[in-house]
Amino acid sequence: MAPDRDPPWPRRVPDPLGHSWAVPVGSSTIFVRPPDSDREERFARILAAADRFSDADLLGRCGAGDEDAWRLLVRRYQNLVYSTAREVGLDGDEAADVFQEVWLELQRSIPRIRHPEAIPRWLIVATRRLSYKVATRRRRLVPGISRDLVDPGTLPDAEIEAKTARARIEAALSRLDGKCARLLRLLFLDPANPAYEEISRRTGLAIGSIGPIRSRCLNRLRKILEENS
Amino acid sequence: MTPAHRHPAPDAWRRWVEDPSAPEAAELEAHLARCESCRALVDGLRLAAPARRVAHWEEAPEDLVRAVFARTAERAPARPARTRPVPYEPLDIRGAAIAGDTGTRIASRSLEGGEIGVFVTPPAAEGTWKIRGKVWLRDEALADTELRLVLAQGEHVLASTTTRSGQDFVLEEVLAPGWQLELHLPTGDVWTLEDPEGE
Ligand SMILES: [Zn+2]
Repeated sequence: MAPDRDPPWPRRVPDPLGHSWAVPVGSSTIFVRPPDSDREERFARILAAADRFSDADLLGRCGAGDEDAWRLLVRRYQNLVYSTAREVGLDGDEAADVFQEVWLELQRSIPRIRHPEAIPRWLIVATRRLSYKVATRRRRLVPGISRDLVDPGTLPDAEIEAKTARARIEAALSRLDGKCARLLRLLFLDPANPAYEEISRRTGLAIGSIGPIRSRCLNRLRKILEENS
Repeated sequence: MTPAHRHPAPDAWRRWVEDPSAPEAAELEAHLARCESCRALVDGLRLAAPARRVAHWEEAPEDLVRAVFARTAERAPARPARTRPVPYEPLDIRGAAIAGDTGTRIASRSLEGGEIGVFVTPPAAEGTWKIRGKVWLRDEALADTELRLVLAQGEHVLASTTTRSGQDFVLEEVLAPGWQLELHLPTGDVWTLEDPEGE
């Protein structure tokens, strides 16, 4: 068979993230950055389109050495990891240690991950185990800390589902304007369940205008969530 | 249009979304049928219901996230190395035994190319396990070669360190049953030692 000369191999194809070139080499892909691009500006642009990339997409890119994909993955789940460490009872310093360790563990585990779609579970399992490790290393008695945290079998599916849903909705809220996001958080996510009077006081909105604004904001949120799913 | 103060309180809707058999359900459903505003509220509550079940949610401080970016950027991204797992074969002698009453277990593998053996000591009460061990390679050309040890649990790499043939190594980690210790040889061969108690 005649050698395939068109297109030349390796072939440069535009990376859908728009920030670099994806170059297929054999069965894998490497990413080459255009030399004249401005990293921060480019990253902001990617961030806006980021939610369209699945965890598996991002993890695959991280495995190929794409640093921006790595940052997006950390951004997507940073609060899930931090909240989990704080939830088991760690203080801010301890949670900070765990936070660092979890991402380092993910970085070195990437080639081993067989279920990239289950990355929230992976992160919660690592956070719980490392929380136990940090708490016992400091010989501190934390009421929520027990050996159970080390066993992935004790992690309830309901906890993974709730945290994944929360991370997803928070990502969508972060793309709304500040006023909308604040109102929707107070109405739908605040565990204190504030009454309309309180919401009015905290947002500066008249009680009568909360309803129509809420509907508009909710429509926008729903649209973002639908785009991302 | 119904004035705002005549709508049921958000709390009532919240309870109803979480438990549609609440005592005030009939009254709420009747209101919902004729109130577009409350339908929108209920839509939002349903949308947020799974996310509301988190026990605690807190934003990670920005300086922490930036510190992670700085630390992970220093390291080369993990690339899958070309490896060749060496399966367990009849030639292997696998050993697992209990040493004394400290709970220490011994695990070892003897292969054609050499041997790997460890003592695994659980913590007295809370804390980390200690894995002490040694690798012997029969090939003298590999005597001074750096060998990579990887302690893994399923899809998690708990720790990674290096050793040499004949040198002691120690790993201290929090472990659950079912861990694996891998020795990555420069040839691409990977010897795996499995938790003698795990399945
Ligand atoms: Zn109403």
